[in-house]
Amino acid sequence: MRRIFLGVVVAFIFAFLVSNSQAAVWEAQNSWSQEWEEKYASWVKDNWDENFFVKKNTPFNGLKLDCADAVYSMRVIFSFLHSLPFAAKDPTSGSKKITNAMKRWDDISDPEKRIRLFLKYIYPILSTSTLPDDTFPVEVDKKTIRSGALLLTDHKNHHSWTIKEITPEGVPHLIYSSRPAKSQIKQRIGFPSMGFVFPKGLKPSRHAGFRNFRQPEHVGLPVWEVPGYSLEQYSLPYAKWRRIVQQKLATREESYDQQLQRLFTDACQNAQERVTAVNEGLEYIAGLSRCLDSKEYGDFSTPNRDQRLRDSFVDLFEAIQDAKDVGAQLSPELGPLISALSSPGGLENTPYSETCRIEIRPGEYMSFSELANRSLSNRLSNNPHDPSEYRWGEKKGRSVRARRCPVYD
Amino acid sequence: MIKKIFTLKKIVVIALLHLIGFGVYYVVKQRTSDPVPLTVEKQDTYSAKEAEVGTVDSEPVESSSSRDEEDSNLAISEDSIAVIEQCLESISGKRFRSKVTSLRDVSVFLTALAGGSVEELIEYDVYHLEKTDGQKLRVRLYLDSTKGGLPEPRMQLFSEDKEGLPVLEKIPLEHHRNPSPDTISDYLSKGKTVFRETKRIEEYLGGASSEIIEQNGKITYLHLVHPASSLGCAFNENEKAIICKCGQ
Repeated sequence: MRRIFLGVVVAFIFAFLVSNSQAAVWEAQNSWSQEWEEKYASWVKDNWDENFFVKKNTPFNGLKLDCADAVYSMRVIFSFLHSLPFAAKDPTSGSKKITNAMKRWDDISDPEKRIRLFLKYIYPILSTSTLPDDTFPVEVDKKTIRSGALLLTDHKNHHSWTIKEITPEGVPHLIYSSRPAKSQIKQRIGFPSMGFVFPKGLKPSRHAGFRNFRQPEHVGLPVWEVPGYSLEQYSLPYAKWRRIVQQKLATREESYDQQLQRLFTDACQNAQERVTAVNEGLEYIAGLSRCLDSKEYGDFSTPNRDQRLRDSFVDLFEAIQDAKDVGAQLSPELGPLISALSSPGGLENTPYSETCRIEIRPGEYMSFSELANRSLSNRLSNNPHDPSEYRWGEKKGRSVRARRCPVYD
Repeated sequence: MIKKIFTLKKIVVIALLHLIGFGVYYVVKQRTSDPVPLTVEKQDTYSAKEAEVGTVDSEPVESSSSRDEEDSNLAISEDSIAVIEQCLESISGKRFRSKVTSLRDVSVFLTALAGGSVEELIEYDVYHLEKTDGQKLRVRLYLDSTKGGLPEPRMQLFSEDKEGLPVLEKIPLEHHRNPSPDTISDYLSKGKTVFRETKRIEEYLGGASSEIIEQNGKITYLHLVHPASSLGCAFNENEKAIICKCGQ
């Protein structure tokens, strides 16, 4: 009888412990260390890509992210998968932190549901404006600017990218999202323009540039006390910043051929992404007779995207000029590309005609050089109220609807 | 024997019923006490307020924090006062006329040195409100920018969960984006302000800037970055005083 009684008591204690055992979004059984930072970098390099949130049979399938959501997710998900702690400064409170230890979802036994709820919880609270408190600027070095780091713009352009890896030529392979939030995020290989990242110049106070995540115990510390903190990137000359950073991160030199190919691919990719963005906006307003509200307008207008496209053309043409100036020996394949870029027919009838076909409307194509010309002469409309012809600069000025509706730029 | 088995079964059944009951209670308690998170479309950052550009004062700068303000400022450790004075002197070639007593003095010194703040950016302004019924709310104001890069204020409203963590409350879009001063006042009048934290950046002529955090009107954090050197000061909970470092 005594044994039975003891058994019941043990059962009660066990049941009590089980019902209270989940006291966190996930339990952190490991602690951040240099070794874990190395594993984090390897994990990002091997697993983090533009399809991460559309892969089936993962807890993260279908989550919709904007740019900062993608940045925070990279660190949160690795921490979750490897039983490591995560902490971000609570942006609504002086010293509190938002961590994996929060108990809000303790009644949910499925850990995958809890991590999804946690991510959905932080997405609207943490943003590019909170990243400065959860990250720190780093030295320009292969050991710090690598997989798992991030690139942040000035407040003016409020954008951020994660770094999947640095290519051997020292160029960041970026994984990122933008608004409207989506599951299918994006990737590009290249440096965003200086004007976009540092519109006010190289000022540490603007928080722009390359940064790393703080380890949880460093969240809340004065930034100068965070191990690895460095303002070196702000002391580089603005005009040569990208070149110097690339040289410092490279393990081999990038040839002019490689550079031109990369910049062409980047500009082409920006053009294709604009096609998608414009079409999404046109599709959205197709059934609407009213004007877009400020949120809708923000989601479907394209001023930042248009600037990035323009910047990518500028970078490409400057690199071509540089190559010409130094008399660089380019591969025979690049000759037609360079001459095609300055001809009205663009890439048509060149080996590149199929490489970058810009289908602005079903069955209707715009040549790469024509788009460059329109972009560089600011003829593209970023106003989501405008019809396609205005968005692509075939018609100038503002459409009737754009004139009738408010602009939220 | 049969009686013993029956008794054992009875005890197990009772125990299970208790366990189930506890589990139900636990789940109900969790669900009823946790506010439901509501979602507002997230925005990113803020932008700037232009201020007048001044000239650098060639005279020594008065430490102008008046003594009646002293109570509203946090103590700086003696060591750190020396750090501040030496650091600022090495940066500017100027010295304080009177002894530094607070980070407010440093802020005023820097502003005067630059002949007025060149540009001030409010990163955020957070209010903790307490309603008469005891409910706690938080209002977070920050300057964002439109996609076109123009400055636009944003407002978020939060309640608190039982852990003291924020729960985003849904507010009308027109209150979230570009709220009018009257709208902001309406939200702030929902309760008594019991805590306020503001973070701002001041950018001075010559490329220097400082990041300043104030809590309840007291500067708790100041980080000056100057091309020549840097000064970092922050309230240290253990020391109960402001601790500074130069050259960070």
